[in-house]
Amino acid sequence: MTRPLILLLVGSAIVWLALIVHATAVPQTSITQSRAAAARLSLQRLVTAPAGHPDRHPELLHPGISLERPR
Amino acid sequence: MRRLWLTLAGRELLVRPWESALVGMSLSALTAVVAGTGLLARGAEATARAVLADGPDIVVRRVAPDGFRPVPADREVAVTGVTRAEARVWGVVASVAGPVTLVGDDEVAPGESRIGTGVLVEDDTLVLRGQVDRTVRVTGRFAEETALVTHDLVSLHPDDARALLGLGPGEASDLALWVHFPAEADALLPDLEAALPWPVQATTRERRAGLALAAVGGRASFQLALLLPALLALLALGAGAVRDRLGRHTDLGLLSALGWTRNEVVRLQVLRALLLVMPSVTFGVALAYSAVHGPGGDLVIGWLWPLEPPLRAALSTDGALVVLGWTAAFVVMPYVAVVAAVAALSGHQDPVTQLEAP
Repeated sequence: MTRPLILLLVGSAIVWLALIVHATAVPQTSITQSRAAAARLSLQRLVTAPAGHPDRHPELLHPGISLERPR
Repeated sequence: MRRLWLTLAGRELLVRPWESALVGMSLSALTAVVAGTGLLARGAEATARAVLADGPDIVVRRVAPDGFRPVPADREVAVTGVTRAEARVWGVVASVAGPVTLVGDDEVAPGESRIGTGVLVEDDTLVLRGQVDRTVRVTGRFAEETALVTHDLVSLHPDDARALLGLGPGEASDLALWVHFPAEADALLPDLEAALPWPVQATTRERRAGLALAAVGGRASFQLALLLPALLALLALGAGAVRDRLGRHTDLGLLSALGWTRNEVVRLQVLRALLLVMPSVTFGVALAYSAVHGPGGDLVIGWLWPLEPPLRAALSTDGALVVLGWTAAFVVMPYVAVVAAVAALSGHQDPVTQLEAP
């Protein structure tokens, strides 16, 4: 009866080990490259809304430009 | 001896296998919900801070009653503590598929552009509509991995960007500043306002990170909204454990009649609870982690936030282990404590009374 229980506990330990390895050792390419791009272009923002969303960066609208204006 | 204890605790679990399985699944689900929420919030925060870490410490915009005003591109900022100032040309203009963020970039030739993954174009030609209409050729794309900041970006030659934004020659949208002590950037704001000849709005990196987090999901309220039902669920599970233990007076009475001490009864029940809760919690945290940072990330985060695909799998794992550890403790400790308390209280009773209990 103890063998399945021991296997269950060992399995749990292995899962925790895998989580630790993934969270600490796997390189986060997108974070590193986004950071480099933000530094090169002097950006101070994250993209947090989908493209075309009307609420995207409303505070950054330049005076005189209306996105609603038909052209 | 340890093997014997393990066998006894395992037997306790397997006497009612379906009941144990149901409690285990409930604990897993509870853990997954709490850990998933924590991982999302922590991931968003760590991502915002990591990505913005090398960007400007302060951005200064000139303001007027009717909005923003251009600043002179060659403006010097003579404030102690400011180590570098850079004039930026950028803003939002319309494209065929919606608004895009325009950035002036010296590395892009006139008439050409470099675009982010979220900018839709046809035949490598992009039509932009700002103060003037301009059609540019797409000659480069930002890497998908940089989508966190470049998703809706269109970089143009500064002269093209100025024309679209209605800026004159030698004008810029704002000033990006780097300071000696970024942590104390807030303290420089009054000096900046005094040093510049027009009213300004200054945004520190900390504030920008806060805005990003607020946009991502109302973090605190979101967490609380999920944590409260989770707490209620845990209390319900604890109450279930109490009722379960009280319903097994015969078992406890039998052990007591066989000469087991109260400590031994408590030890057996705690071991039984640990055997149930540890694998359940492990499964729950693994489920939450894979849902946020693993293969399930696109599905779960896409459901919670209306973000674009390249953004979804990009949350930072910094601090994820802390969240998982706290969640495991949050579930394991109350559950085991309730089981131990009930076992200890039951041990006070007379074995004969327990055996005769219905």
